Amino acid sequence: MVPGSKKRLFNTKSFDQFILTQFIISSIMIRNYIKLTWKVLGRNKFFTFISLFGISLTIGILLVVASLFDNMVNPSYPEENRARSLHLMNLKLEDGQGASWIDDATPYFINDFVSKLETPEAVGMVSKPEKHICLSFVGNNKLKLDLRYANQAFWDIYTFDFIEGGPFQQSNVDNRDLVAVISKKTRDEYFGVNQSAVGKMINTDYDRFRVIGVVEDVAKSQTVTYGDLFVPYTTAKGGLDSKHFLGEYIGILMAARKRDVKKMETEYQALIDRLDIPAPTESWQKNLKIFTSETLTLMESIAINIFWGDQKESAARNLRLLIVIAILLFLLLPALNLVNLNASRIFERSSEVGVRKAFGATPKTLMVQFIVENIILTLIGGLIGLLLAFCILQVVESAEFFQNASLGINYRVFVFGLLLSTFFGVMSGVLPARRMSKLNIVNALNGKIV
Amino acid sequence: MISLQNVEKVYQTTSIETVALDGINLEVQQGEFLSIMGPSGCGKSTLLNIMGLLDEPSAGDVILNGSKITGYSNKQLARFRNQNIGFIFQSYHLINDLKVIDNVELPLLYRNMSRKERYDLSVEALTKVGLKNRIDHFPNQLSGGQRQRVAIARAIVGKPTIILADEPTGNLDSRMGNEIMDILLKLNEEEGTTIVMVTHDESMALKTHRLARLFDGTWVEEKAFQH
Repeated sequence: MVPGSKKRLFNTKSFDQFILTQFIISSIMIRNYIKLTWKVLGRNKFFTFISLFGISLTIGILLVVASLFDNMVNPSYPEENRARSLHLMNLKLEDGQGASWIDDATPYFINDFVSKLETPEAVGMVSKPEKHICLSFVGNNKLKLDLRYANQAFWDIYTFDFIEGGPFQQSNVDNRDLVAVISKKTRDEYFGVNQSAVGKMINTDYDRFRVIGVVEDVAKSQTVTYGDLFVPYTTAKGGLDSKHFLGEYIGILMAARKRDVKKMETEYQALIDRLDIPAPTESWQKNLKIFTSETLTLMESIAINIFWGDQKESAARNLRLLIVIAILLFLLLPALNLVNLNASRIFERSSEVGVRKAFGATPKTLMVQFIVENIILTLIGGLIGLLLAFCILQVVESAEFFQNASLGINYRVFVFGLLLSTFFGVMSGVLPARRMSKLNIVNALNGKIV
Repeated sequence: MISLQNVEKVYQTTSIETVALDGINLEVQQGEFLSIMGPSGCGKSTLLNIMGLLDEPSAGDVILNGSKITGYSNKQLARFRNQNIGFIFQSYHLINDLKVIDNVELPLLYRNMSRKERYDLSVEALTKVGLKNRIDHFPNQLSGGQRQRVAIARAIVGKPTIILADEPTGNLDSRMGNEIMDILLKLNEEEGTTIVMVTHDESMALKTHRLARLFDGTWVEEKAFQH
């Protein structure tokens, strides 16, 4: 035996005993807190109802906002790779005298320049949404289909779920094959619900396409991947021969890894800096001074859409600021209200505080008791809020903009709700609990809360 | 057991200084039952609060069970009260949301004790005050006398060496008051618990070992009784 090890063994044991004792004390305490909380909540039912109503409503609404935001920001079907992608939008020409021309890119720019970059694993492109609305007739019904022209890499970048068939291949693109991938909704409307569509023809006022694949529907809020009909961009009627840069295609650059996104952006900027810019018109040819083009991260593309015309950095900054202010305001008011409600609920119990202190409760024990009570209250409120949010989201989902979006309460939103409830519990409990736990015992026993 | 040396208590507001206790000296022996009497506002309750470590003296020393209580932190004071002192209040101060048994076990919650131990001790204490059959009742289902008996059970459940009772019979009629007094006397006699009781009722005070009268914060009379 190593000298001194006996002593250490003894110490370890007593340390274990200490931990065990602490654990027993805590579990006894927690059980009693819960027991008491239950009774306290039942004591003043109207009060509890008002508290719970406020908490549930606030948490419910915040969860709805969180779910919508989550749907916008976090990778969801089929844009699971958004974190390692950059969107190429809003290319801009300026004449240096205040006139500018902003548009998306042309296949020429994307194929001949962007695709040559080394960092991107894939460079996809797709025409703007709602740019090509084609008409199709089923019996006497007119279908308006949002047609999207895309290249083959588009299918590599986005993880569409194919119900049947598959995407078009590079050979389809090269051969200008009139083939189409359609959405489930289009299939159901055109061919009949759950009817097989692959191999069948779909007539539109643009062209007659052979269906080669059917994908699950995408929410309309996902502007890059939403569509009723996806066809090779080479079948488009115009714009293919253009040697200009500004056009109607959104470019998508996807890096192999998320950490390469910055590198990809730098490489892209270097490309822009050394480009010889073709001007779209003769008058522009004379005036052309500056060409700028930016790739946008997800946050930036959302921000640019909201703060139209702003620079991407300031737009993203504004959006973040707006979100933070909105959340703070949203949290602050109900939190203050709860502090108030809790203060009166806790102060009512000054005599109990006095008794507990007289019989050996330390200020810390009491403080923990009140905070645990509050957390339990807010967790119950959070649970009701969750149900409320669930119901609201069901309604929101049926709104057109979020059509096909799966806005459910996923684990991220759930964890957010949990954290939110705990935050409320702690925030609204700490102040009154602190004041109460520091109360002079004699005053507390006499019901004085000063 | 209990020793107060030159204890002063002064309440200070911006304009007035009120002397509640003025140089109080007191020795209470182990196993003694002391009653304190005096008119309202003479400082009886303040004295009891200082003895029970619920309030701090402005000057002087408090020595309990041989320990000089000076410079104790809130946590140390709480622990000392929990281990050594039981309180009985005039208005019982039971927690209405808790059952009788839960009220009684309250002091044990702040000790390292299993659920079973707490339950057993609480039942034992309730048996001593004759309320074993009421453990699942709530305080508002009991009479005043019964509530005070629950409060006594709570005070004795942790087997403290000192019990401080602030007008324990003040809210009760004489029959119930006598019942409470009998319990306290028995506790003192059989268990040797030191009891200090503040009372307005001379007939109760006569049953104790010694009576001390307080007036304007100082002792005015002291009588010992032979029973």
